[in-house]
Amino acid sequence: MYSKKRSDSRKKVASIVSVILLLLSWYAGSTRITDNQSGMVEQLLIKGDGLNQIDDRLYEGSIANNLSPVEYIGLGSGIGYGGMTEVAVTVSLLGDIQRIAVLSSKDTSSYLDKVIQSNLMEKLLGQNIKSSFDIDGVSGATVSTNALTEAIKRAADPVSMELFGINRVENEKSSSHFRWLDLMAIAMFMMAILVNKTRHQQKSMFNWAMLLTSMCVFGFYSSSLFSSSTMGILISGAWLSGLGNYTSIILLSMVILYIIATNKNVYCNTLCPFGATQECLAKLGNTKTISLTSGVFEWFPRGLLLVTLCLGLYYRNPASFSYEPFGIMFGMIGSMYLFVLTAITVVTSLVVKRPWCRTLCPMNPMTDFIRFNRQWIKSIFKKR
Amino acid sequence: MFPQSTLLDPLFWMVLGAIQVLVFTGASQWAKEYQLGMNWWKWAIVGFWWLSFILTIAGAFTLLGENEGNAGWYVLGFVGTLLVIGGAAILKVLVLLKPNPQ
Repeated sequence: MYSKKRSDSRKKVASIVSVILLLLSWYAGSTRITDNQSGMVEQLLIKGDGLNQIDDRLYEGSIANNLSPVEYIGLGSGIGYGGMTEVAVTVSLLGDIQRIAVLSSKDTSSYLDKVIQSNLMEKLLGQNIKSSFDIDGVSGATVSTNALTEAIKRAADPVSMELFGINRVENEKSSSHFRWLDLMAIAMFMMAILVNKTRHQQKSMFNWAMLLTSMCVFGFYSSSLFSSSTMGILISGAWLSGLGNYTSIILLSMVILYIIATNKNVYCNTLCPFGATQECLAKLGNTKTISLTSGVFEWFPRGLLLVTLCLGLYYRNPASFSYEPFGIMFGMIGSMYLFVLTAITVVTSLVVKRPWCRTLCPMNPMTDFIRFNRQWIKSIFKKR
Repeated sequence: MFPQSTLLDPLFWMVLGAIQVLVFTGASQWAKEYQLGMNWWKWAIVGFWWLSFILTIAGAFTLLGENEGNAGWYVLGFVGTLLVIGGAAILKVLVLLKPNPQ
């Protein structure tokens, strides 16, 4: 009894400290020295040695003692995985693209690196802004590719208007970013609730069907399962300015709302693609369910998630801070460290049931946090 | 694996070769002990799997020795992991196809 009270007190303190740390990270991030945009843009000058701002998206480069501009620099943005990707384009007086630079991006660095290494931007150099520059997508980094492409087109737009009087880019409605995958996420979540509630004889078979479908659709097909970076995007509000892919945010939001409403988590056992992968591997091997009673396995993932979210809030780039092996597992994109973690998790899944879920998965700390606070708030209202 | 060392490099490959001997001599005994009822096509599958596995390890460590660190680790991690899973699947199939003890 006494140890439970002590444990509850510890959890209350941890819960309050977590919220304070997140708020402090948010505040500290806002006081950081923000990028000096005009300073960065000035470095994109080729012929000119001075920069004149015409409007918030257009600069002209000029030479001293010469009133006529020698080049133009346009700024544009596209909606990527974690938020806005901003790009600057240097254009000659004839309309030829001479230089492209990414000013800022909120996408995961591995995906952005993959797009840049595909020489997407190099292919555009020398092209005229009057032509329609269609760019091939980069497999496995579609959202980041689309964001960069859109940003480059929008950056060329004010220059095109200034030089040729042509307005190319139509304003895209944010609703066009919603796709069939988002509807699928909502439908599958509803089905997961039904499967968990049913007492049908074939409940186990239905559950397996859901897991396998989720693994194929949200895992291998679209890699749109949520992670700690999605949690960071949600709490930072970055999704308000638009996202290239809403599926993971929609899934996460539904999971959180359902836990708040019913105290139940239907995602892990019925929908999680990585959980499904581990279950499939467990069927292959002679797996044992091990119980990890040490407090380290309880508190370390909590601390890890808190640090990840704080860093994402501080740097205003949650998509860059994640530690899950999902990107490697379903898209073969990620750092060497995540690659090693994925290999270890996959091989261990042949021997131990769901090793990732039982150790580092951020879902457990998030669920524990919501459930604990829900219970705490309920008890406060009950006392009153 | 250790191109800069005249001692460790041959030792490494000798150890790998010695493991092969142990595996070849022990596999038949192991299959008999677990009554797997091995025949020619089962041995062919197991042999193909073992050959793939040993080539992956040899290839990965050769790349590491050639200062192609990333390539070596990726071969070991990606192909190696797939082969471990494949091995588990083959073992599962062999156990399922065990002849009934009479």
